[in-house]
Amino acid sequence: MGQFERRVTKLSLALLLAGGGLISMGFQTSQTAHAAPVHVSHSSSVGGPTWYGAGSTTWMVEATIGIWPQPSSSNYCGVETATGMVNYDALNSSASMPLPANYRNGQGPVSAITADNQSQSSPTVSHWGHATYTNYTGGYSNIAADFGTDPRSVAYVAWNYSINNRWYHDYVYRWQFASATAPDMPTQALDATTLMARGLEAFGEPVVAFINSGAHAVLVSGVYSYSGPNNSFPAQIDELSIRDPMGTPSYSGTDTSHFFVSPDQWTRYGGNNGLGWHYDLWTQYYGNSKDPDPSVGIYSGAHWSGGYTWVQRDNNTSNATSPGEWDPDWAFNGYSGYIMMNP
Amino acid sequence: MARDQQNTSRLQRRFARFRSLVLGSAGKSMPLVLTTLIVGSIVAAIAIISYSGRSGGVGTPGSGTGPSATPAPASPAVTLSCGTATTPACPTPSSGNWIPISSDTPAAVLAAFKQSGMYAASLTGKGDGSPDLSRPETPVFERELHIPGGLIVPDVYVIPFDAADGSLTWFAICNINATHTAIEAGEIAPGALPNGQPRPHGQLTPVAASAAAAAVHVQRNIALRAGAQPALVFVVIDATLIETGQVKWTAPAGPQNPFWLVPGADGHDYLVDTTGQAHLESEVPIEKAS
Repeated sequence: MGQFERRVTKLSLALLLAGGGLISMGFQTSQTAHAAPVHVSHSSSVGGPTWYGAGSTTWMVEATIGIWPQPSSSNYCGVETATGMVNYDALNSSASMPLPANYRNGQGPVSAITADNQSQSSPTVSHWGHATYTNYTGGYSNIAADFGTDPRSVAYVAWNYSINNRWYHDYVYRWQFASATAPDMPTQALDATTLMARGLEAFGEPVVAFINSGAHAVLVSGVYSYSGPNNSFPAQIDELSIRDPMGTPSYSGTDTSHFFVSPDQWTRYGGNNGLGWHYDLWTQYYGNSKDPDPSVGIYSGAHWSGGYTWVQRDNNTSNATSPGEWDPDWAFNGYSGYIMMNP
Repeated sequence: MARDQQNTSRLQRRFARFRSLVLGSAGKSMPLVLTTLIVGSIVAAIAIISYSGRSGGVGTPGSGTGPSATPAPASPAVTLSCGTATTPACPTPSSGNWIPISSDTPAAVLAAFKQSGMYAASLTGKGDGSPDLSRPETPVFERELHIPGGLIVPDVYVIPFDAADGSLTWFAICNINATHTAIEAGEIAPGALPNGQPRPHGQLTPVAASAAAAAVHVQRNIALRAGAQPALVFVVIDATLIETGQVKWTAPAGPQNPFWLVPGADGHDYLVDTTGQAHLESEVPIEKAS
């Protein structure tokens, strides 16, 4: 290697280190958190905190009735919540529900989707491959050896079965995305909740939140907040509206799938579902032996663990990446809105 | 499938290009240097552009350039019961989540709950966030059953709310602090029975205290401990154990379905659930503190 080559090499390495250093810093100090573009906001500010989220209880019930409840000892929660999310989106767009209770000649969404999940080709399988086959529900759409469906699976199911021109992705938040030092756990969870609420504010539709360390998934249909999630971090959230596939939807006053929790229940104490069984909600990070991190692809490693994750609709459709960022395989940094290129 | 083929060929092309850049001619160092320079420059450029143009973390910014969301129809009509020209002023939400109570009484707890943001939201709520909390019953105090190693959550006041037909439709579950000087609105939970049937007015549990003691006697052949009485407690059931199949459990629980704690003459404590089944504490999937 000659002198010129050595100089070029040094310059190259310096650029590499400088660039890498900047990236690893995450530009933490100047971030303004943003998870999804703002298009539609359903809100009311008369008298109390403002509602950000799904605009219709009737549609929430319509999107899930006859499909929920999941059997209490089943692992259907990911598929059940994705179904409710895309059905609500269709109703919100004056379209027919893509996954009605009698879907595919009466087979029903859960049965049909889990059967489809046995395909070993794309798009069921991610472009990185699939995790070790664990069970029928997870099928081949998981990138983690999950007890049920992992967040990638839920994003894929939502994208694959939703009405046309809809995109869904998994969003991840860990405190390192926003802070130099770790806030206490409730603050971390509230920060993540604010980012999730931006999806609610943007589209006025429910999102899928993975709770109980990833063991369960629910729809968060909205939040009440004293400050706009899109303009505050963390937002002054007063209440979250939960739609739980363990419960039974009903148009009457006997709906056991719907409950509301305070931020303290959501982040400190947990709450009780329609049966009164206790959910940890976001009092703990994602991750346990039955809901591990991805084992294939670029997210192998500590991806969901050490933080919180949810699946929401967005408009990320660029082809700047390969495959394009529309692909539900991609996870997004909930704080920056950037595609995640590593765990 | 076309999408897959397109992606595959694109990846293959990129890999081939990368391979030729890195390897170049065997034994030559310049291609490697050039590659390092290019990669370094690209990394630096990406970092600088990202830093100056948009704050964010590692990765490529989401474009967010897809079609705009279709505006949703207006929410179903809601009759505002406060905060309008023809209705009373809405309650002013208290600062913070804890609301002082003037005394440790049901009436004071109900008055405090009505200062909460949850209650205010129920009056003015929109969309999927409007439980009807206009017909309160008398709040009931419940202690959490504490077991060694168990998850500790605050004791609560449970406030039942009725529907127009008199059935119980919602519970407000309010945490109470250790000194019983303040409450926090924690949860609004369904009032219907877990089987989807309406719950009768005033019914937290269909099992009377005397029936609970009798259940322990009949099912376990254990008498009530001398001088003791059954006490209403709520039990924190670990839903994850049930969902993951680690335990089999069907009985409703939580503050909205309290159990009777029955001290047995054999020195053990028994729990009688809302179905009338008597259990040893050790048989109940109570959540452990993590």
